[in-house]
Amino acid sequence: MVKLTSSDLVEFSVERTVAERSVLLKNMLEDIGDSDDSAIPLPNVNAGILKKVLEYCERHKNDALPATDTAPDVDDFGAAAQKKSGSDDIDEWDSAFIKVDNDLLFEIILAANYLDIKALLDLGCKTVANMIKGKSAEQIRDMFNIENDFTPEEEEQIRRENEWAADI
Amino acid sequence: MSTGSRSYLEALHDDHIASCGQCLRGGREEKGFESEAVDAAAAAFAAMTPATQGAVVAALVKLMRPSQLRCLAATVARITRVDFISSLSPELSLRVLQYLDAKSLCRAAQVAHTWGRLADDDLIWHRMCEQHIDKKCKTCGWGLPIIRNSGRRASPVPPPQQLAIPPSSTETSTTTSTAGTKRKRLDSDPTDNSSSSANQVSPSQLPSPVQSQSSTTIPKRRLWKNIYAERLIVERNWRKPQFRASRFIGHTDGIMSMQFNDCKQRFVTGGHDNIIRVWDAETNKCIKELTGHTQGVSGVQFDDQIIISCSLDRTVRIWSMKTFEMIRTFDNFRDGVVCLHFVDELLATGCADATIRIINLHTGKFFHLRGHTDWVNKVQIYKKEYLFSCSDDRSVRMWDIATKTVVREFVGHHDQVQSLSISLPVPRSARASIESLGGSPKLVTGSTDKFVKVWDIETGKCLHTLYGHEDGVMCVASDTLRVVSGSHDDTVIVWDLESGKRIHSMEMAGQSRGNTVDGGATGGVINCVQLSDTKVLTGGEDGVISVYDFYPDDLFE
Repeated sequence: MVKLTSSDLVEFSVERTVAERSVLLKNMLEDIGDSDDSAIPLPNVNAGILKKVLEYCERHKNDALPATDTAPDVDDFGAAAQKKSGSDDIDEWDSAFIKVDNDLLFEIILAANYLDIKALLDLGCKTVANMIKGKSAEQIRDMFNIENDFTPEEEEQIRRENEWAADI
Repeated sequence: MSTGSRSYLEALHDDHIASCGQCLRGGREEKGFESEAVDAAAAAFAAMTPATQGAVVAALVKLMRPSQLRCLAATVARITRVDFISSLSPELSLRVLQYLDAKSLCRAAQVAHTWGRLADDDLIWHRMCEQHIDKKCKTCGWGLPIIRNSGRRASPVPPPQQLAIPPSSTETSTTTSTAGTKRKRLDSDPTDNSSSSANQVSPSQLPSPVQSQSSTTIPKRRLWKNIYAERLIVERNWRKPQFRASRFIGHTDGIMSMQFNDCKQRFVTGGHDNIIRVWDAETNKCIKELTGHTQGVSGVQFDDQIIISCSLDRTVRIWSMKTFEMIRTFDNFRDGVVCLHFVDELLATGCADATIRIINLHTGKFFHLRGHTDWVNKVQIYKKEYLFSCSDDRSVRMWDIATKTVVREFVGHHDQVQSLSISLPVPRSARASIESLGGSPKLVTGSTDKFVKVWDIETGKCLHTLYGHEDGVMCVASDTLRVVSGSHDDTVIVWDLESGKRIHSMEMAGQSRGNTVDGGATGGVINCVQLSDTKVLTGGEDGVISVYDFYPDDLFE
């Protein structure tokens, strides 16, 4: 078992395979070795988020770990995008799991990034992408509470620049 | 959040506006609210411990009226709306945006400045280009054509290496495929045939100015988004179809052969009037007339250095592309020469005496491939090892040049086979998930039996028979995405290579029939056709050249 401490000092105890879904934790555990069983502090993740993240890790503890290729950044980016370029390929459990309020989703993305859990990060990013897809600029502003900071002239200019995609 | 919850939010929002009139603004107007009391309560709340605050909130919620609760819910919903794109780090925002399609990205770019900067990111659009250009994206099933010379027309200057592309190998002389020629990239391309070479350029090698930029410092840089947009518009124009057609008299008699090189903005035609003409493809003006043949010019092909022509006068001639002087003549043919194709030093000719002659231009040595029993209408060298031929004897053959034997026959046409073209698939890139256009290279043939057939080169199987022409098919051209065929029925049909479906037909754009062009003859049989990423060129029995340009007029202006 591995012990983790959240930013608000709540201690979690999970199987090592669960913790190892996080590349950050996996590397830490390898560095520490078996001798030390003190809790690992996670100052960037609060208990609520950590609980949620660990729930995901528990569910996916038997998945194949993503290949740790050392491709250059650009390549990795492209490859990742292409492998799962559809944002529609989210499985049922994951889709129920990620059905949360936006602020929680935001925190999950940050935590997944910090803990380096690529599959969860992808899930979070795809979920946000799905919110954006198919919406007009005005709908997007409304959904995310964004102020339109374009001048009318800029807005018209940008609209014209993007007109080609209007009827794809 | 799904669209479902979005409409829930929307409802809350509307509700909030309605109820707020009562709980705030309305209250102020009617009775006014006691601002001292509000301040005092706020101060008291602020002074409490978190636990007490929580208890007070719970108590307040219980005391609230329904309208106030609705107002609270709407406010909370609004406050908890997170602007992910602005709040996340740029790296994470791009990670989100990479899952969007082009349309959504363009809408996202219009949301606000921060969104615009990220949604226009070059990396995102580079990936979009990689996924779509010259191949079909596995996710959305879309493919966009490569446009080799795109730099020419859009604002920025094309990189020098683009202009200098020597088509080491060009098209088959007369009617056939085209697209390839312009796609030739430097000399690296081992395959000769036009379309094939095109296919060998991987998308990452797209000659976009962006890349050239790294090697040569060209001041102006084209964004990948613009490149994507350009190609998408061209693709859309192909499907609509939307094009600018120009028609002009090319020869005083029927046009027998044509080759078009989009990269060099040149095309060359050969006619029944014994003349070869070199044209500026930008202006459609004839820049040179080559005379010397004493009968119809049945085949032409050019590269940076030379033009090779063949004629029913039983000769093959080589001309300088620079001085336009005749350099060399081969005149030891026993009958008219019907077609030619050259790749580097390897020249193949098909003759009326049913032989195919392979000539080494360096040594002058030659030999024959024998087996056809009638006119050889088209030859095309493939990978410099093989040769495809089709003949009036109704057969289509693939020869091994070294052993001079037929390795495959493509059986299925019921009449003279007039033309052929090779379409190589996009090479499978390292990115395995992107599907190429169906794996193996394809052979396209057109016959007097009215059919165009698409064959699998590897197996000899006929993949598609394209029905649509009402009379014999005289010429075909193809690239990685499309097939174009011209017929005795006066029409040109554009087909989808992969599905074999007709995209549209151009009844000479309705302009040909009965319409005289500069007093020329009326429309008629299409003898030869050439295809590029943005254009279809045809040459008719009436001596008229038609150019259909699918490149938009008003891109990014």
